[in-house]
This record gives sequence, structure tokens and C-alpha cells, in this order.
Amino acid sequence: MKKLLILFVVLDFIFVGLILKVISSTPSRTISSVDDSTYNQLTDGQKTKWDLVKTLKFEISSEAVSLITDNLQMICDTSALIELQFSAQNVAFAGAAPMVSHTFSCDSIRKDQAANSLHTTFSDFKNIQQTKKIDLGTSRLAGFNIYTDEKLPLRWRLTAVRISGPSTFTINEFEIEKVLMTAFEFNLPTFVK
Amino acid sequence: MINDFLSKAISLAMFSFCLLATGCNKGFTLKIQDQDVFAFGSQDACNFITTTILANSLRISWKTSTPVTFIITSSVPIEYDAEIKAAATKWNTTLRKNLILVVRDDGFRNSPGTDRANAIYWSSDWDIDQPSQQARTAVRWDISRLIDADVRINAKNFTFGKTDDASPQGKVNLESLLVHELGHAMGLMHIAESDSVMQTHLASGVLRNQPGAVDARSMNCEY
Repeated sequence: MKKLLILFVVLDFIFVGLILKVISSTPSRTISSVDDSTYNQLTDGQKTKWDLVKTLKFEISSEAVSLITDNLQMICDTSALIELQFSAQNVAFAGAAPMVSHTFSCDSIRKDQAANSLHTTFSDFKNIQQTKKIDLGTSRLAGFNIYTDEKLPLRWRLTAVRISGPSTFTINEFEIEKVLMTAFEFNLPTFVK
Repeated sequence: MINDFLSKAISLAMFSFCLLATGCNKGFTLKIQDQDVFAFGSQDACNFITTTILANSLRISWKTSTPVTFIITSSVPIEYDAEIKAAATKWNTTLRKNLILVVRDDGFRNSPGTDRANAIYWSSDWDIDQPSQQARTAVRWDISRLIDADVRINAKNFTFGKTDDASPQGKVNLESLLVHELGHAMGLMHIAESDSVMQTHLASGVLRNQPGAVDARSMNCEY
């Protein structure tokens, strides 16, 4: 009986050892990681877009958010308008998120060859709740699904960069997150009037 | 001596078996509803509002926090309680689940907003740019789980009728409107399907109080 028990214990240890070896040799699962193989599998056009997205920077100051890219002039060489679409986070009215669209004219961007950034001020962002549209001369803002009788959402995200004209394409939030591993999000300061 | 060794060996063997049985997974484990933040892949939207986390799209819903309770506030004329409750019942019977509860609470004083209480308001003030909007549901969420829903009914620009109304012309059928708004409150978006209660427009005098097959399929994705 005792011999049988000892044999059982020894066999058990061997069995556990084998299982642990199998578990430790299984490759670990990566979640949402981007490696060189992802880039290498892209088409040439996708690589160009990937490289463009890689140049995007998003800066937040006390007064404005800015999308910065050294390729701004290059984009405007073949396009007419650049639209930044901001969507409110964690809130929806009638099934859709509040949205602010800020459209810049490439004509005005081309006039300043040093220009490499697009700014949206927090005060314009707040004013859009009442006015729904703002014309700034070189750019226009429009609000959608924003109501005067609801609180203006404070958490926002750049969800799309729409480039239109002879060369038309969109960079969406999925691509921004995939390439830069971060979302372009910000909070509206509550003190802005 | 041998007995002592044997008892220790048997304890060790039992521990080893336990380890195997639990998959070496002691301590931190994830439940299904928690895993979505790790984004194993984009979900089919199923006509739900979605959010983007780690470059993946996730449905917004109450997850397992059902039934969802809605308070009829004192602003709503009491004569319309039956219509609002009937709208909730339409969803519950269609889905064969106790998904939505509606109760009147005249002592509820909160304004619409993130108070984690779901309420239905009768609004005599309305955004002047939205006179054609019959009602509006605001939903708020955390990660991908709904935490708050408020329904406002536009009593400034519309008159409302009941389902058994003898002359429904010129009135918005309140039960039909609430079936639609409660759909939003559960996470649904608008949809352009003829048998759906989530169509964008509800004409006055029209009865559309029965969720369609497309609505049931959508809801079944989450509930």
C-alpha cells in the first residue's frame, strides 16, 4: 500500500512537471502591440499614411489644443481643406456623441510657409454651445448634437482628421491610436468663459 | 518516519492537483464583462453606441446591471404614467427579460445630469434650435458600461396622445416615443430600418410601439 502511494506521488510530480513545462514554453499573448511586422505588411499607400500619422503631435495648453505636423504644407500642396473632428467622450444625446468640427482652409495655411500647426481655442469650443457655428475667417467651427439646455461635455477626443480636395483621405481615431499608441484626448478647462 | 514522509508527500500531491485543477490561476482573474478594456478585438456594433479603447470599438450598454430602473419625475403629468410603463413593458415582453423598470417618485428633485439616477422629465423649456425634436435621451458611461440615462420629453413644442386615444391626429403617441427613447437609454442608436422603433422620425398620430425583430436582435447582443 505504502509503495503504491510513493509511486503515485512520484508519478504526480512528473505529471505536474510536464504540465508546467508546457505552460512555460507557450508564447505569451501580446495585446494591441504594434511591431515591425505590422508595418511591413502594409501596402505602400498605407505605409505613407502610417508615416504621416507618425508625424502628428497633439499639444494642450491652458488656452487651446494644437495638432502639429511638419507635413502640414505638404498636405496642403494637394488638398483644399483640413477638418479636425472632435467628439465628446462618455456621453451621447439621442444615440450620438456631441461633435465639434473645425475646418481650416489650405489657402490660408499656404500663405504662411512656416505654419505647421492647427489650433482650436477652448473659448471657441465653449462658445459653440450657444452659437452652433463660428466663422474665424481662415477657419470655421460647427457644433453637432450640442444643446444649450444640456451641460457642455468636458472630455473630448480628436476622432478624425479629414483632408479634402484633389487629394482626399481621412485619418481616424483608430489609426491614431494604432500608430501612436495614444489617443488625442483633452479636458475643457472649466474656468474658460 | 515513513508515515510522516507519506503524509507530507500526500499533502504536496493534493496541492499539485489543486494547482492543476485551477489552471495555476490563483488571485487576479477577469470576468467576461471586464475583459473588454483589454480589447481582444472590435465588437459588432449591433446598432449600439460604441466607444474606442485601444484602437478597438466596444459597445456601450448596462452590461449585467439590469433591470435598469427609470424614475418618472414629478414634472411628468401622472395621466401619462401608464403610457411610459407600457413602453417599458413592450421591451421586456419582446426580449422576454425583465430589463426595464419604471417607477414614479414625486420626491425626486435632481436635474438631468450625471447623478447615476435614471429619470424621465417633462420639459417646458427646450433648445430653440431644436423645435422639431420630440424628446432627447442623454446617456453617460464609464469605459463601456452605462452609468446614467435621462429622458427629456419636449412639452414645449408638442402635444402627446395615448395609445387608446380616439383622435390621435396632431399628437405624438407617447408610448411609441418612449419605446424609442428607452431604446436609446439602453444604448441603441438610430437605425433606418422600416420595422425598427429606432427610426429617427416619428410622425404625429403614428403608432410605432412594438420593437421589431431588428431591435430584438440588437438588444440580444448585449442583454
